[in-house]
Amino acid sequence: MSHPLEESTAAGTPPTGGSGGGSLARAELHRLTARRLVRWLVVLSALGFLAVWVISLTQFARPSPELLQEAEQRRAQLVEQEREVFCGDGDPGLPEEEREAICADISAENYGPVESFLPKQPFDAAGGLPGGAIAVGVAVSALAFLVGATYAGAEWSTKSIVALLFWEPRRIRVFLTKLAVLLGVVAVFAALAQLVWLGAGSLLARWRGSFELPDGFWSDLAGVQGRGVVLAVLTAALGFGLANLIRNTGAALGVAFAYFVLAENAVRIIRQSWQPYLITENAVALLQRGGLEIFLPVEESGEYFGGATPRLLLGNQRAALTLAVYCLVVLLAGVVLFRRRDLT
Amino acid sequence: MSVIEVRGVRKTYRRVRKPPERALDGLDFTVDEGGVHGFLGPNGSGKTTTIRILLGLVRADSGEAQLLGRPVPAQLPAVVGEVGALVENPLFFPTFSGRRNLRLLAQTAGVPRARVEECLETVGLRERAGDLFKGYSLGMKQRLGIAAALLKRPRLLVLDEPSNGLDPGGIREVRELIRQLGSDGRTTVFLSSHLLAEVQQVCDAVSILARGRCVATGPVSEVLATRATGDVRLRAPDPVAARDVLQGAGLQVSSMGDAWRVHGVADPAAITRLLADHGHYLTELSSIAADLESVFLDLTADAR
Repeated sequence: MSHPLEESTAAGTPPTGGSGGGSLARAELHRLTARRLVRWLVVLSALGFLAVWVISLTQFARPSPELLQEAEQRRAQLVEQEREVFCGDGDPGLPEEEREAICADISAENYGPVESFLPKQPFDAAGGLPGGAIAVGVAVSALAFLVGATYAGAEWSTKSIVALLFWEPRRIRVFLTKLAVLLGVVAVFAALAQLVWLGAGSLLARWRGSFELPDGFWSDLAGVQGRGVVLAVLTAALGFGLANLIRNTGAALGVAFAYFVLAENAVRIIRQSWQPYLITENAVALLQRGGLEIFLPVEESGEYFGGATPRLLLGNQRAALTLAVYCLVVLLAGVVLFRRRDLT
Repeated sequence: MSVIEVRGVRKTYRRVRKPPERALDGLDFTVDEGGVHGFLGPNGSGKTTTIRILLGLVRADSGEAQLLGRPVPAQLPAVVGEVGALVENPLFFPTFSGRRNLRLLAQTAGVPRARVEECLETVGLRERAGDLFKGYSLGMKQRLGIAAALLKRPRLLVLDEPSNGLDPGGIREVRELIRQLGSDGRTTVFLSSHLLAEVQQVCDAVSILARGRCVATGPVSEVLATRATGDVRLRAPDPVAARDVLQGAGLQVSSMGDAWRVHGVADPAAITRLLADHGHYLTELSSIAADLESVFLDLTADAR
């Protein structure tokens, strides 16, 4: 150590008590984005995305007129073969009425679009872009949960949260700043991921498929992508809240694993009527256009003998609200404990 | 003016499936502004709990604590910018470099980056500041913790066992740093340490804890005076004959290297007279002052 007196007593104004929210937020942003795990996850995600996209380029193809004609022929052959089997004398024991009904169903239209008989199918933007947006939303949400959990968990396991409180003792402020920074970063990342998918998927459709879009397509797609961002933000908050509550990343991930793998499946088997409250069901309902239709057990629907199909529609808004309530409960519990806890 | 004031603070930790542990039991002490104030006590006496209460990390069950004239934890945010702290092991992100860890803290409180380099230089870590924290030795981690505590140019510097893990050279450097900070006229250093010799060398005042209570507090000289031994050390040309005279007069004498130690002497002049009357003229007569270690051991005997 050198010249301690001169340096440590050099003229300067000490920082005022506490810190500005902006400074803390900037420091937290730096702390989050500088984490190696976060950087690795971003790099691996980008590489994974690129790999899937390149593979997709090899798996889809825009058909030539000749290939379409061959596919048409293959479908016609199949229809003909089926007609021979079911409409001929192959099964003399079959009642005539039943035979006629089966034969009436054997038509080219009922065997699917001609594209399904191609060796490589074209990428259809109308169906593929929303489907890809949902997949991107799910993948980013899983990453967001991991980042949220490790962000809070690492602070507890290294106890660097204690060092931070020497500088900013207002615990609620620290908690909320960390949460806001996390959710902001996740929202930006999720939105970027959706934009990248939009670009990559559009290229895929233009190079390897069709870009014929129905009316209202873009607003529907924007809705799916926006809800994907919302889901990522909610799962990040859930991971952060859970790890903050348990004070350990591994334990938080373990709880999540036990919940998704064991608890949810157990509920689906034992208490099907609770399905509308499961996180996975609500996540799917949030992402899918129009929500998710859940089939309830007949004995619990009360409508079995009435002939109606027992089902419940989980709409986008209801799913978002349910997930938001779960996040809020976990976060509030974390705030209360964090505020009162002795940090020893 | 006092920089730390603690009045009647009690704290009991309640633990799952374990009996409650009383850490502080009506603790009272004051730390005046300026200089170095030592904070001593056996393991489990409540030193770290006291520091954590002062820094808002632990809530007291009852009592009052003030930092720089403000009650804590209520008004801690108002003074935390003038308080630097190193509590037990330095707590940093293991996968960030020392410099990055300090920069993050500095950014939190709006401390300029240049100050980070100053503090790294102060603790002798500048050349290794780019290394990851997890690769640091215990001593380097401790130095980084001290650097972090200095970042704010604190009026009050709280150091909990700052010499932990340091080699003898490092301990001496930290001691020098503490001594100089304490004498700069601006900083008060509140030093919790097990190294009694170190505390005696650098501290102007001490508070000694035992079983969650303060058993002695004040300037080091006053605390030592409360346990004055009354023993004297003497030398004479004929030591054996001198010892016989003293023992013949009913005094308790023990060997102390090449001199004698006479215990419980109320009036040293009486010894001079007694030996002179028997033809022995002293070459040395000095009182033996209590050292901090013996005072500490005496005061905390029940608590250890």
